[in-house]
Amino acid sequence: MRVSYFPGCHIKNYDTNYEKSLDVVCKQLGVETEEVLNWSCCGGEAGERLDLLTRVAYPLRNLAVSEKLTKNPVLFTPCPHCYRAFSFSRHFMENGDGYAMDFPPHTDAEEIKNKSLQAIGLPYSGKTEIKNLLEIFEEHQASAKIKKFLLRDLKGLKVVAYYGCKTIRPSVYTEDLGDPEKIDLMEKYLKSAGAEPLPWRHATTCNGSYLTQSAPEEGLRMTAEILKEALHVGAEAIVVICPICFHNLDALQRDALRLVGERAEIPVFYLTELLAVAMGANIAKLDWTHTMKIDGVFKKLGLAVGKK
Amino acid sequence: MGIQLTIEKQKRQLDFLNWVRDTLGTDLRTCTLCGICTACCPARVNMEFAPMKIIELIRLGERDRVLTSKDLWECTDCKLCTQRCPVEIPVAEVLDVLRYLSLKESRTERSKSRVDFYARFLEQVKTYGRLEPGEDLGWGTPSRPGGGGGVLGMFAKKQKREPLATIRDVPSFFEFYKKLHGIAEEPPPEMKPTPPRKGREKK
Repeated sequence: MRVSYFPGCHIKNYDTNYEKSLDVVCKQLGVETEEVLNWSCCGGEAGERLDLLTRVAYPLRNLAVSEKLTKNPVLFTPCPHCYRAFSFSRHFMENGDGYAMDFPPHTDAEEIKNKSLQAIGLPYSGKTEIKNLLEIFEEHQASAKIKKFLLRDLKGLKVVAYYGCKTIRPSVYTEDLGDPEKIDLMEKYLKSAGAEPLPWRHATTCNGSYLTQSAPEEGLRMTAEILKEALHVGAEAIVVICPICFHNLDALQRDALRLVGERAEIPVFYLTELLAVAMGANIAKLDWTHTMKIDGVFKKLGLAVGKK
Repeated sequence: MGIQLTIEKQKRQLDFLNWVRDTLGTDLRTCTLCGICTACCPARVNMEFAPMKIIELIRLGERDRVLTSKDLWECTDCKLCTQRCPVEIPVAEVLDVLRYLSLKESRTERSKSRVDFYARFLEQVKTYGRLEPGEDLGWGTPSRPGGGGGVLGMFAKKQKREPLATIRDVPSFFEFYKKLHGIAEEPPPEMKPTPPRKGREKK
């Protein structure tokens, strides 16, 4: 199936390892992605917090652009922050999303809707569906296809699957994924690829998001909580699907663990990276821009050690 | 005198409760103060009240204490509290609208670093239509000071600035931005090349 693809600023700027591996996995699963030309930032958490008009209008512009340029019924964004922003905007246009009255500096939902549409200057039908990584994978029977295309077994690699918060909550946006308390999709995929996902408490606990940037100590304390639990259950790697989580858990790992007096280290991978490896991608053609050492995992899988 | 004070207090309590009800359609009087929201909140280590007590304070009409609280900005909006609330109060959304209210009344001085970060974020989007690698967002860590891209800047690569161009009848981001915020006449920002990224500072 052909879907519009919205990478988002973070993935485009910093996470070439996510994008390249995602590309490989999408090809194997038969997802045809078409990047939305002329896309702009969705506002992310900043738009969400500072201004309701921005929060509605920025994602809406991209939805309208996607409708106009690609005509695909589905917009796929692998970034959970973008996913949340798009879903909010779409729901707001439909029913006000529960927000009814005076927000700074606007007076009501109708005004915000009209202002947004006027500024965009393109027709918006509201028919485009927003899907995140797990929804797209589920739709394409990822589990069965991973088994079918499995070339390199992950050899019982002990991992913990980390969903983060925005991919699975609130459940009104993610009805396809079922009960967020019992979610086990990542575990299913990893198992199909031959890894051994371990049960743990913090699969859907937030790790601090942008707090690690705006108030480092507070944010890192939350990040450390996740890392400590992953080390405690004896995982060899953390598997994530969100670029902000990846940044916090990987690039800021040493700072977070130093804050709580922990010495150990744990590599962090994107789900797509491990799946791409399992489905026989050319290791040299993927980017391995990790801060934490990944040699241990590579050695275990019998791969040539990458750049790091 | 005493009765007068009590009546005023009750009125104050109702005002704040009703504001939340009118804004979100949620009656906080149904809260049973079971504490599940506080128990599951991953940000509670950084909070002074944590979600349950915020709701209690709203019910007590303590408007000032709630709106000036740093808890509103410590919340990362992960919505675990909303998901787990047994009486279906959208706790995260309550904090969400309170954030807007505290912004509107400029009572965010205790969370200045958070608000400033988000403002920098939007400022950059305003200029380029996207976040730009290598621009100073304050990205960094205690051990590796931010600036000039910080940690994430290491992986940054140059990219074309599409959103500022008009493609196939799709107006550019800048035109959209001007209309959205009612800005009349202002030349588009100069297309300056991405500044060279600075290397990590060595000790």
